[in-house]
Amino acid sequence: MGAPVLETINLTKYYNQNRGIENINLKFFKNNVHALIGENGAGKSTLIKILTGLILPNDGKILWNGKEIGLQRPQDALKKGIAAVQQELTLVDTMSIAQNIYLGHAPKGKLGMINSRKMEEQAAELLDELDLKLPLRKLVGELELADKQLVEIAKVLSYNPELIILDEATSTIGSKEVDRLYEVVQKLKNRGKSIVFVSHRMVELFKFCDSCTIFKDGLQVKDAKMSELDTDQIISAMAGCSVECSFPSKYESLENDVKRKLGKEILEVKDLSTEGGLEQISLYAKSGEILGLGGLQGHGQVELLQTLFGIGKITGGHISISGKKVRIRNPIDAMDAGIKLVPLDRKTQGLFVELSVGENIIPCALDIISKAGVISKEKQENTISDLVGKLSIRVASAVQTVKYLSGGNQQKIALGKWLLKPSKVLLLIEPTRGIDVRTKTEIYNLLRELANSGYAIIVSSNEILELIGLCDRVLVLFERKISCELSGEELTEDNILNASFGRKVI
Amino acid sequence: MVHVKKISRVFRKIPAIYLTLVAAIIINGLMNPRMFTERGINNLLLQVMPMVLAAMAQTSVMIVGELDISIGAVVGLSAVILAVTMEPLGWLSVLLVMLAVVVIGVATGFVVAYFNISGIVVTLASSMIFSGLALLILPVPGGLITTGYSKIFTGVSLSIPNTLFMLIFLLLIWEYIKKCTMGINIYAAGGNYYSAFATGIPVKKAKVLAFVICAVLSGLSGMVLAAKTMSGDANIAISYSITSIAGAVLGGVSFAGGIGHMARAAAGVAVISILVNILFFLQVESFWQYAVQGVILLAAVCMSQLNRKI
Repeated sequence: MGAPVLETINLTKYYNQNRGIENINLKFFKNNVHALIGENGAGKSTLIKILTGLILPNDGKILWNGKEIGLQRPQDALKKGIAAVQQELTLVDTMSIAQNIYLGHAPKGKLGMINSRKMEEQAAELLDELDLKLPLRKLVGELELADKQLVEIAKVLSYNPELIILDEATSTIGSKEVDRLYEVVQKLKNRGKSIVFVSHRMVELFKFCDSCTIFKDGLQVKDAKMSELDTDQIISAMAGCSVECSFPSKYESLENDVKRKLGKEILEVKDLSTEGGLEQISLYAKSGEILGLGGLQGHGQVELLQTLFGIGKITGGHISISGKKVRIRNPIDAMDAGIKLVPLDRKTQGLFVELSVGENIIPCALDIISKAGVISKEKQENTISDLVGKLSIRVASAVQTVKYLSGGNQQKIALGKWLLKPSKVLLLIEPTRGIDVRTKTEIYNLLRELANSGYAIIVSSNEILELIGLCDRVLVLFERKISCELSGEELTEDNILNASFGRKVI
Repeated sequence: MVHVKKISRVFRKIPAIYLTLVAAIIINGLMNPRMFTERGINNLLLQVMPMVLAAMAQTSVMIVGELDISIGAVVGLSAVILAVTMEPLGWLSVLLVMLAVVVIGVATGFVVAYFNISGIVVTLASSMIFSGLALLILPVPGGLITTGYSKIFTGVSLSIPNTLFMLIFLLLIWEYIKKCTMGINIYAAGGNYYSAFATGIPVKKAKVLAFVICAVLSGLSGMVLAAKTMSGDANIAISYSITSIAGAVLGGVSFAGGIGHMARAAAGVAVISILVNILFFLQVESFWQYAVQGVILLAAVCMSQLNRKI
């Protein structure tokens, strides 16, 4: 193998209190394709952002061909010979394909002007190697996403880098293009390049890669040659215990007479298809039940819940509440039907961050606190303090601006505001993202309380332990379809992970 | 039949704004035949040139994804500085104006790029500063502009107006800048700031440069204005801030950034200016003039939106 091209020593990055990565020691070699494997949030993206100069580590060293280097800005990484194809494309839609490929390093001609003809010649050569036929003068903005991703790959290759990082570069391209990419990767590998490959698709990992490192919760869990591992071993290394959370007891453990009052089917979704790509999704949710949506990020969970709340166009199928079909074209229809959503990004979608706690709560309770269009100050204050107390939101006063609250308190308000009026179905998208352990537990208890009082609750989550601990049933989504339904004894980490990769569950 | 097809193919390749400009000139000429004399053409160019320079200034900033609403104030300030310092300093007054606008450009660009504040907000504030400053220097229109200086811009060489030479020269310089690294950086930073940044392009420097180009062109606009009116007037050009945006948009410059040609912006604002002439000849009241400009601008923007491919 020889000496490594790039080596990281004890690389560490913290985001405030949260661990991004800690003590990562990696070696990347020439003529080698190395995989980075791990769940979302395991630390792969953080590592890659550090290696490409987008963020700075808190601790640790990076050695390039044995010498210590600093990567302060993207230019530093590119100059050294490190280039990455990220999932977030770095193309400029208003410029042509050729211009994008050579952006920042186009061949110059007389008087310092860019030599367009030479640039287009070189771009044509590069695209030839990728076996791509695209009109060089076409604006990138006019391309489909899959073609854009291929232009991004060409752009990275135009730097002739020594270390090439492909961060989920195959996520939007079809199998024919993946095969093409495989040929290119082989060529590069044989030319002495070092390649870092990130993907969630097991087939690709085994096909493209020679060695791998498995991440979990920001830590380096395992280093091995791909030939030494099989899928089961990889999956079990990815999973495992994180921080301890305590979960309230589930539906099964309720008293029988309580169970009798609950258990009726409240939400039924049949053959739902959407403009965004969901196809023939069918599910149901019962009152008293917490239903989980699992699977890898981006496989339709967010879209499904948003569609149930009226965001996104429905092209087929129907939704029923308590046996009656309902038409949900927008959030108002959803709210009228008794469906409420706690969205993915509380800061931009769930709250008015510049306003106070009270001002965030009131809009959902206007008819309770007003008469003939005039808000009663007394009722307003009572409503606010009741809710704040019930949710044990730690605020100095209700006039405090939401922006300054902790993530946990913010989320409680994003959730709590819906509780002022009775509803039937509560949808939550990754509700405990970025929230401390204590508040997480409080939210879990609250959700269970709401379920016990008659709500049907659907929660989507990336954290497998959360799904197992909180939910009565879990639906795992894979490529926009329901891969399987797990409950009772089948509700295990391994089963969820396997289903997340589309594999059959025993 | 073949001739018609060939002609229409040629026409389709020429950007619409140029055809509109030619049409506007022709219509204006029909109403005022004296326009087609050497003197008439020179007058027309002098009429539009200050606004044309302002539109070109605005284009530079719009391409990098910002807006500059202090252009009018900078134009006025430049004219005023010239009018007040020409008597004591002679030709050094021109140097002083150029120095002043470069400093203004660097300062404005710096605040926008490095403090991460939107251009509109910064230039809203700076327009008030420069306007006030100009009034402080010259509270009422006046000052002294020598005929020698004035003739440079108002004169004619080889039967071609000097202003036309200047315009062509500036457009050629911009074509050069466009093809250089810094020009590409301005277009990239405007087209997609994050992508340009992630690609290692010095996006902040690009923004500063765009504002410097804008300020310099605004300074030139003030210089032409002073030559034309032979005096300095702090507030004569206040409307340039908005009209320059209208002209640029008419000329196909995008608000979103990354798209735009200076020549077309120049044509756009010229069309607006000539339109005012035409409306005047049709004895349309001033109120309607403004309204008609607005309607045309709206129609042009809607049409270009419908034609969008991206």
